[in-house]
Amino acid sequence: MRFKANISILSLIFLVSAWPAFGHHSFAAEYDADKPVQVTGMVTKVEWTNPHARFYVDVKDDQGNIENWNIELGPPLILKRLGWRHDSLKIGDQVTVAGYSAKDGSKMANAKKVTLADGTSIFAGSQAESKPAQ
Amino acid sequence: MRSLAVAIGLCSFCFAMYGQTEFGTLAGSVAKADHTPLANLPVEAKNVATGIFYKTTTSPKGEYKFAQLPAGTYEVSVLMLLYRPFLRKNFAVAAGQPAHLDIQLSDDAFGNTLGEFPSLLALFSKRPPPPAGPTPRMPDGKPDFSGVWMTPPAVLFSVLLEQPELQPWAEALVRERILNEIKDKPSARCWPDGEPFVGLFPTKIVQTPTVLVSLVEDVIAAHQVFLDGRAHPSDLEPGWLGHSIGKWDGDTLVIDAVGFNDKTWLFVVVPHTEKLHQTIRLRRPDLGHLQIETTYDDPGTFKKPVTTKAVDILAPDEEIGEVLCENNQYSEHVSAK
Repeated sequence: MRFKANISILSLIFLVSAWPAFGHHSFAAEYDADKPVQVTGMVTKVEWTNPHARFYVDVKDDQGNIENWNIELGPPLILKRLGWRHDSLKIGDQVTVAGYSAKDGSKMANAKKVTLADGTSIFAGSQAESKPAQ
Repeated sequence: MRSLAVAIGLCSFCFAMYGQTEFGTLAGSVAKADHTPLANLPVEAKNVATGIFYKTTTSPKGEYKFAQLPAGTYEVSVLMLLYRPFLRKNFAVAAGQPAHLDIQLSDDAFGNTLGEFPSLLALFSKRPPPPAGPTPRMPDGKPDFSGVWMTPPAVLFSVLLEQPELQPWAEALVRERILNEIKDKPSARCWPDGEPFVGLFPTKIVQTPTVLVSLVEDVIAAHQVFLDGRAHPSDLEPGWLGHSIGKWDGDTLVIDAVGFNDKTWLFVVVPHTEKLHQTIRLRRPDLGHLQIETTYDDPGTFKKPVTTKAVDILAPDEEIGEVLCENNQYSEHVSAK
């Protein structure tokens, strides 16, 4: 790989140059990586839909109020290749979700890890192996 | 002669004084949050008063230096898509003074959402090698490109042979898009990404003697390449996928594509005009590999044509699935910085 001495801004895309390599959404524009969040509650709804699957969790806040969180996953066809099915999560399941909060403050997060009440992680991949190539 | 020498001496003195009084230096390092140095990254310093960009690149140790910056206020940036964009505004460089700025980049731009891009890369990287065998052929002896194809992750990151040289408007828009964390990328609105043969998602090619169809497993897109000798229509309306005709050059299918709208983003962030003209050369040297060489000619965007090369692998165990956007809540919640 050869770089010019006075490199252009475009050198940066020299390294990442395929169209859809960044998924459908820009994570950084929607979620705040500086606001990790963990919620525990009961699954109330699963949307096995494109472009991204989602599920909803009733979470009790400190005052005992129930808040319904909207949790985003990746595209169903990728989840399927990773071993998920549309019924991997069922309404009524108790889950703990670790992820990042939405930037706009809504009760919304992406999911980095989903764990069932018995401690089973229902995601087969690991974060360590899912770092993008550089 | 003596007066000339004096003049030269004075000039040298002036330049020396100018150098001492009007310029400063800026140096520092670029690293990840865990202090891993980042080499070969572009660092830019924009002089706020003049609008001029000064550019340099980090060394193998992640160090950078601007040896001569006019004194003033700068915006220092590192815009690298794998990382969250870094921008430091109102950074002062004083005359004759060394300024120092160490930069940390967050590598969580992807967020690691379950099932998103990094998961898919990890999954694909575990694939077995493609099957071996001779090039399949159509009844007329021409290569048959049919099959489900995947672009290996390593290829995704290296398809550009050289960095594109952009017209100023396009370069400015690239900066803006990266600083906005690509929030307006077409696929965020479930619009096609535009690329028929190379990408993150599998592609299925179906070939007949008169048409080759590429079905991309993403925001639904069926690219047709007409092989029946027709020309491009004279009344072509700009579209997302353009209009493609193919002719054989030996065992190479040469695809000529025009008629694009200006809404797709090339190479993740690069805009283009409706004058974009793609020439795609497809080869299948054996059963398991598909070579794709694409030239992008668009004088309104590129100072010279840009060429990419990629090799897809056959994935006979895979099938493409249905992707119809029915639940795009993204635009309701997206917010720029």
